[in-house]
Amino acid sequence: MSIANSSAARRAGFKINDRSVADSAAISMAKIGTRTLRVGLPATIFHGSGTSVDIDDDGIFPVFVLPDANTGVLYTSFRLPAEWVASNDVTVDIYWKTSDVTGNVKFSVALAAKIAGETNAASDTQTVTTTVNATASKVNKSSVSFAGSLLAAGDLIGISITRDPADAADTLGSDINFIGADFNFTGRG
Amino acid sequence: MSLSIAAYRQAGDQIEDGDVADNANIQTAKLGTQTLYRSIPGTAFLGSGSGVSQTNSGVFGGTTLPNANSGSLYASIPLPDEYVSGDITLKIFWNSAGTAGDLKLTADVKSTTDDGTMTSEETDTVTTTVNGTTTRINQSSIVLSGSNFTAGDVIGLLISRDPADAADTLASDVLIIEVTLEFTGRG
Repeated sequence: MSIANSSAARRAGFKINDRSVADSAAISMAKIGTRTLRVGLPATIFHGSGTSVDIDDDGIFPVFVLPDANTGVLYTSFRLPAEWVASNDVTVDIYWKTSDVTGNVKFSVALAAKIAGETNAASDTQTVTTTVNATASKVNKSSVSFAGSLLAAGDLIGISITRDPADAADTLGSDINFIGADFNFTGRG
Repeated sequence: MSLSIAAYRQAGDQIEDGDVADNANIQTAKLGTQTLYRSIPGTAFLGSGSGVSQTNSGVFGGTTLPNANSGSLYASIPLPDEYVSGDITLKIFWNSAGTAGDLKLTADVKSTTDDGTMTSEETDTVTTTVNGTTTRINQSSIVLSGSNFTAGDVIGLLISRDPADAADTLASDVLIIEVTLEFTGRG
């Protein structure tokens, strides 16, 4: 039995009665309700690549330094949660901090959604440029979105986050501390 | 609103239109089960052995298990609260520059609560032929007995490779990208 949702039942004037549901019925929940869920991606589960791209601590947060002197790249991998509802877009929120108070940081975020037998290449790359908080050492957030059409249930997800300080759009003259990222998706439950 | 099918059956009641608000938050915890995942990124493991180090393949980060010597990866996670019962399948995603030969992986698992020991209670192996095209994603699967797992447990997991094993004929390093615990769970 699948209860589409309460709104649909109300519109149809439908009543769920005793005989509608078997004692051990497994009720499909996919259409009962969804909300935004997230996979937390702390700095410590990333692999860092580039000169001076190193793990450090900042306040009580472990962080990855993405330097101002050269390009730094962070990589991680995880499984698309079973709760993900097909076709919905996903968002990657990046949390970071710097001691500087002026300028912009540009991130390039590549996402791969693959299964066994497929290549390791990116499915899509998105960029975001964010003006740093005007107060030193505040947490900043940058967000990019990816089309749900790139994803399929059961996919293995790869994410790389790149900062190229030589990019004209990256005008922040300081290292940044990458705190972590959230992979946000529309999911059941 | 909390919807209890069993309670309605016992009472002989009917769920009627007015019982459910348009935006009702129906509690689903006991309504059904499905296959759920708990993901362990390859970069989240503690590596042991010469050449066991983090790197990437394309967009995917992971930890290398070398061809030159044995390598081990350790992780600990709580048994998900959504777990109901039954076997748990480990799906290990990996990558290699090699395009011929077999990779043999060994998984040791211990699922315990306080007052338990930390020694392995189950050891399984899997041998998988590498994809014939380089940079492809490969998958190896191991089934862990459900008898090991009890609600509230913490799970210790060891994934190891011994390239000197006769069954491991892949003459290349491998990158462990991710390990998934697939289980039957609520929600």
